[in-house]
Amino acid sequence: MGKAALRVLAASLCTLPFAAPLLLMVGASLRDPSAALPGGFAPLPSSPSLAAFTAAFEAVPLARSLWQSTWIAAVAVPLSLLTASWAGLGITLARGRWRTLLLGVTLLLLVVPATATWLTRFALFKWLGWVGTPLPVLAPALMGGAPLLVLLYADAFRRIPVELLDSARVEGASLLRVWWSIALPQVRPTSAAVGLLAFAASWTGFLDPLLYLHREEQLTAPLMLQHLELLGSTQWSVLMAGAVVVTLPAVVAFAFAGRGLFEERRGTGWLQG
Amino acid sequence: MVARLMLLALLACSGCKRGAAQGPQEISLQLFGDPAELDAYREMIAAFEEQHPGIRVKLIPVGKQKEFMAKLTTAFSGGTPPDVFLVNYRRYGQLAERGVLEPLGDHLGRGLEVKLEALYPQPVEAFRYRGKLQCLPQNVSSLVVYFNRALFEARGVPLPKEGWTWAELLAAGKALTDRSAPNPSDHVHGIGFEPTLVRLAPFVWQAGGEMVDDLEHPTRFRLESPAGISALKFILELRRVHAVTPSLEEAAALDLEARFIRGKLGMLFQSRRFTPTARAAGGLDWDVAPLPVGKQAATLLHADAYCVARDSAHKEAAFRFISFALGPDGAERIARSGRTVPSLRSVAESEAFLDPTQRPASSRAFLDALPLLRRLPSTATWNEIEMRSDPVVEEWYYGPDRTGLGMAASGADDGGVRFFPGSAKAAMRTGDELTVLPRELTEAVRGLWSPRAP
Amino acid sequence: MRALRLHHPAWLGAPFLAAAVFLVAIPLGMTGWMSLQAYDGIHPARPVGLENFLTVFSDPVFSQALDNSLIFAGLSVPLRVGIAFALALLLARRTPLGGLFRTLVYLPSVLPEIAFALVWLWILNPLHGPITLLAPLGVAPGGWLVDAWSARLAVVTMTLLQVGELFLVLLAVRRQLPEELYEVCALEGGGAWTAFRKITLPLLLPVVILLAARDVALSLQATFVPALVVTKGGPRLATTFLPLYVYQTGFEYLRFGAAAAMTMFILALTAAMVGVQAAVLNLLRGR
Repeated sequence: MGKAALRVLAASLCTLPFAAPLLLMVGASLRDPSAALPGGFAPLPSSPSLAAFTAAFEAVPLARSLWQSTWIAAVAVPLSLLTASWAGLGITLARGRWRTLLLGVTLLLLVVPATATWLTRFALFKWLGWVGTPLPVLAPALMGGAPLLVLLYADAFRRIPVELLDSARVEGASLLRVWWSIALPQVRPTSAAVGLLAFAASWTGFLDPLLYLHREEQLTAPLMLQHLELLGSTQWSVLMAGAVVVTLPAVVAFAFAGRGLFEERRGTGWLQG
Repeated sequence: MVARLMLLALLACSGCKRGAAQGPQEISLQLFGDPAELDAYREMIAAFEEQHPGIRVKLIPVGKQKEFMAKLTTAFSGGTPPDVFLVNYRRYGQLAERGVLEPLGDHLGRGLEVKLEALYPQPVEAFRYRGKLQCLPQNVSSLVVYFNRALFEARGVPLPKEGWTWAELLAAGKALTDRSAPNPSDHVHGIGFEPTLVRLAPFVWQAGGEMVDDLEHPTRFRLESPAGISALKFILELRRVHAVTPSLEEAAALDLEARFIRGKLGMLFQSRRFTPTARAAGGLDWDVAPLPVGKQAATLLHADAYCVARDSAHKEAAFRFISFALGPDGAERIARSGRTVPSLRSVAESEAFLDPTQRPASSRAFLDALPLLRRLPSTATWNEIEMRSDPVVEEWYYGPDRTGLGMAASGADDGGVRFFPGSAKAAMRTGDELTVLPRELTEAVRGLWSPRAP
Repeated sequence: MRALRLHHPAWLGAPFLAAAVFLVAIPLGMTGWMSLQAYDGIHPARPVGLENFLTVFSDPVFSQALDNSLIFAGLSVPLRVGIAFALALLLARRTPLGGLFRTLVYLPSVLPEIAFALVWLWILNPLHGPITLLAPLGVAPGGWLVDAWSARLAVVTMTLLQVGELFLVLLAVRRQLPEELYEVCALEGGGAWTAFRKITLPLLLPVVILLAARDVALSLQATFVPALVVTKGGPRLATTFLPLYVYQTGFEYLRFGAAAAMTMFILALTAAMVGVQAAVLNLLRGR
């Protein structure tokens, strides 16, 4: 008992720093922007107020950018789920060199930093005439959002009994049918987790919108937050209120779907490729 | 299938673009400014759209100059430049050099109904690149001193006036600085000086020095002259000896403009662009004054101009917008917001700019400064030279001493012997640091002087 | 090679592969080409041979940026992997509140980068931010504004909380280790330390090395937003990391050729890390 309690104590101490930025953000956002800053640090203002939130929405068209981010995520997340689960199932079902190819490409993609491709990707999108449209921001969803998502799916599909998948295929079911009717229903928690990560990737994306979206009505929520900073870093509470607003959807999604990420699983396959 | 969907989306999008060309024309306008400034532009745009129902203006606002330029160059390289944008004369060079600006001088009287004679000549000259007028100036601002009158009066300090001196500036700064409050956010600083190349320039000129060797074809800085050094000494001592300006930490915690708005700064060096923001701060009793005078009087031109992208598909509409914005109606609207010292003489000398019911009461100081205006280069790489230089100037200005109290309190390092402002030792120490800046600046911008071919 | 019939499972990976070619392979190939051109994004590219590389080699800011990035990777990667590893071991067991703790560890990784950076701007505010609480410990609250190492450490610290992916993978792999091994170890009288040294560490080490290699490559992008928003590349270029300098050179000053030449260094570093991965994988296979 004592040992378990100690473990919980240690765990809470070690994980507290991870909650700190969020708590500090919320704390700072509750200060009335017109009130003077205290000398030194005060985690919470003496008289909390929501005035900073009103001010943030007045200073920049934050609501509009939230809508932009929402519809971009609404396109990107299903697309990511589609391509990631297809690729994941492909890795699970394929054998031999095809499996090596798919898995190899996924592992390679894991190590390519976004900064290595942004110049030429920009030139490519320019050539296609896509700069200034949301297409470059949506394009990564075609790649499953992120290679990790493909691997999560591959790992989940591996745990489906092989006979289940094979028997259906022997009976002549098409690949898409196997995917939709057999594979996907078995991995719902993974789909939730992958959907969450795809949502987070889409919602939080900063680099691509920064390069490709220019007009005010196109700006996504993170860009609008940068905008708010550029407009006047003079009012910390307004800036933090904006940060809270932009962060909230990601945190809420995470609270709902995050558990699927950490479920107990036997046999995690991708490293044993 | 997915690829086809993307293609469909793309087709749909290009379709909607074509559709837009048939309906009202839409031009994009990129400019920078804080919320108070942007409101004025929104109002002016509304008036323009009302008079020109066939044209819609889409605003692309960006908050800070640096990000503004990054966004502008990115848009140009992506092939999606804004149709019209407002840019400072120190920054348009890299675009003019690459030939992506429509030289507006060629269109005067042909679609672009702006009379050059009606504009002040100084900003017009600043937008001639290799002899060709590229952009049309919207304003002719200059560096002035914003001061908190209530603070001056409360301390019994004489108000800044025409022809005041560096010594008087320093004396006022000292008298206003007050660090006695226990809460550091209640501390008052006499002077707000942003350590950048632009802010140094007027002082160097006033001392009789030069910033660069040649305005049109600069090949190096000229700060190391005795006159330049004497200006650097005055500026450096504001922080390091007299501590009348906020320390780096203080400035980072709350920037100079915010300090002024909160009544914690006696004087702030700024151009006209700060006026709407200061007006928006209700209850602040402030005014502007000309720069103090050194050996001679001089101040720096701050001017922005409307430019048109050469590849704009809506040049006619863009010209109409500029004609409106620079005409009496448009210029007056922006001038009333406080944002500009209008480039249009008739509006600048009218009540729209000099409105006695609005702050600053001494708006005329901007017009009085016109004969004293000097400018910095507009070459292709000047923007980059400033970007490289400013961190050097900042480090030099704040220095290793971050106590907030300047050298008066930093004597403890010197074997426990305290030395005081004005002592020979203090002067010697700052003396060493004076020659450092010109050398470091030269080093920091090495290789940037000659314009690079694309 | 077997014929690719339409119901061959590899087809499922086709959209993914096509997108990877389009979004990664082609751009990577173009980088090599662009590094040999004078290109400003406006005028047509003009071949200039190795001139961009010569410019980049003689550019003191580039060598500074390269140093900064290597220093950053050297500091942040071991710390990040170490933290994720320790937390994965600590939180692998079923304990009360375990789910909450695991969620908390991942949380900062789903926050918008820009919001996270702005919070740090607040945390590091030298007069009003939480960093002032550290003053009694001898931390100068404004040190990161003036001192190169403090500024770099500030950026490193920022990235230490975003270890969600590392944590996730290590947690999954740790849970996959058979419990029987630990039971045997306990039966033979081995304590927790022995179990860690004889079982956990050797079995997880290859994964840790793989993740570290990946993190080195990723460290090249993790610095961009913090450097752009919080330290603004300063003081005096101390936090101008490769991505920020590539961004400035390419997108701000329109020297795409030179920026592409710099990107080649990022690629070289990435390739080295792929090499490490391959070597580790081979070792794994060899066992």
